[in-house]
Amino acid sequence: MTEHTQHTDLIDSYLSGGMTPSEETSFMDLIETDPILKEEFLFQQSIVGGLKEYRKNELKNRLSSISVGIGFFGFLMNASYYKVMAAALTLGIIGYGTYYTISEFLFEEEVQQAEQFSIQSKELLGMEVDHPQLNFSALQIPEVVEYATALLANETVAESNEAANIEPVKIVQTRRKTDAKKNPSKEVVSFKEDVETVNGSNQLASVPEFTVPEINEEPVEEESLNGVSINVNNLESIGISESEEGNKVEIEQVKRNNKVRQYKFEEGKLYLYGDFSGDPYELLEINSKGQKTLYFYHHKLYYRLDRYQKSATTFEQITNKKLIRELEIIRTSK
Amino acid sequence: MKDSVVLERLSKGDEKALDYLYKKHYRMMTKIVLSNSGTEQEAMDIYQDALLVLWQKAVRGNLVLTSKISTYLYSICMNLWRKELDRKSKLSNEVKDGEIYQNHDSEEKVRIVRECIEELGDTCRKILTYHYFDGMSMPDIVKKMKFANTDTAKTKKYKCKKRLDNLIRSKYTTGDFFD
Repeated sequence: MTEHTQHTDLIDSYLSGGMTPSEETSFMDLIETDPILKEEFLFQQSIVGGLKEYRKNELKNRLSSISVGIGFFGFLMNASYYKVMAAALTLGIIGYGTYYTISEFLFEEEVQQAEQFSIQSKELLGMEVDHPQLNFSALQIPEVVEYATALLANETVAESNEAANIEPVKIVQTRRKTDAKKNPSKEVVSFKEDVETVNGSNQLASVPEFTVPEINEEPVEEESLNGVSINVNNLESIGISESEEGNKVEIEQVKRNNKVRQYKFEEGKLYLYGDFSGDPYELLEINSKGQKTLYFYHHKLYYRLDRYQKSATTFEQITNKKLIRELEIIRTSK
Repeated sequence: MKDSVVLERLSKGDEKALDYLYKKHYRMMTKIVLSNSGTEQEAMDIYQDALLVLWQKAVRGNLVLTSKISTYLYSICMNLWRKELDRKSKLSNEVKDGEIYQNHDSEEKVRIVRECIEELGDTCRKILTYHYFDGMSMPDIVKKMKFANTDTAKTKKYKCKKRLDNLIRSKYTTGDFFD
């Protein structure tokens, strides 16, 4: 028993790796000379081998159960994925840069165009009459869209005052706005759109400076427009009727072989009889408080139109030179 | 986690440190086998075996690293894969010579022992495998398995080993084992 126990301890020491190399050599020599020891050694070797194999499998199974999918850091550390990501990032930066540059360029161009247009418009609008009664600095007009209207108003007022022999005052070019509430009356110059094509902005740009006569404190009423009273202090706006649908006058031409030209109004529509193809005509509409007067311009002559003329009648030519001059100013100032 | 910290934890038998290493170097180590005519399964086996070599050396306190753990693992993987390629080459020769049956006998003995090990209790199985495979010292086993002291652990190990011996002897004749 003691010998068996001693053998067991030797075997266990050998299988556990507890022997020195010299002890191992002595032990192997002993095994070769002792068959019983050798039998026991082989038995114990199989058991220990089984235990080692069991533990090895246990650890390997543990490792196999670990997910080795590439995590975020693994993804970053992986060279191929890193290259793909870097390439995508580079492309993204370049794309964004290009987009940003183009957008900025287009935006700047738009801004420049808008500024140019705005400056052009404001130059035209920027007239402040140096007179308290005119008070154009208080006028409010949307700056871009109604610039033509505003300039037209200035010119009309100036000419009206000139006609009244009022001393001129100097006009200083600044920005101004129209106060609609303070100036309820309205004067509109209307033109038939398909009769004459005029580049409004160019035409307006050609008259940037002029003088306005000085006026008296009392409102000036223009008598020359055939009874149409224009109060310059109450002046609200002068516009092109095409921009206001309510003021449009529909026109229909009825061709006739004879040379007599006539007109009539029917349900607010103007019918023109005769041949007007030789020279384009224009329709001028003057609106004031409760009044609306129409004038017809054709072949360098002005005619007054009766809006209540139901039957075809000839045109009534205007001979009043003052009125003609007024109408001429209005017509050519659009 | 630094290599020194990992090694310290490995030497104490911390299996979580082993898990960490396995995950960290998996792709790099398996690439050695995969790029040398190995399969994914073979690559995984070789890498796991290499890690267990590191584990055993670390637990037994025989490891003094003069390089990075990854470098050490890489060299083990390379050696193991060469051995595996040699083994496969010899195996093909043994099949031709009819020596394959001897390996089958060896595998049968291992299977018998394994079945008996599985019949042991968890504590016995752990103390025996920690001692014989991991090479864990008795003080480390005491710490890991929370025994009272080293003598208790030694006694337990002795009894467990005796029990396993008796279990195997009772179930199988010596002739079955040593034919």
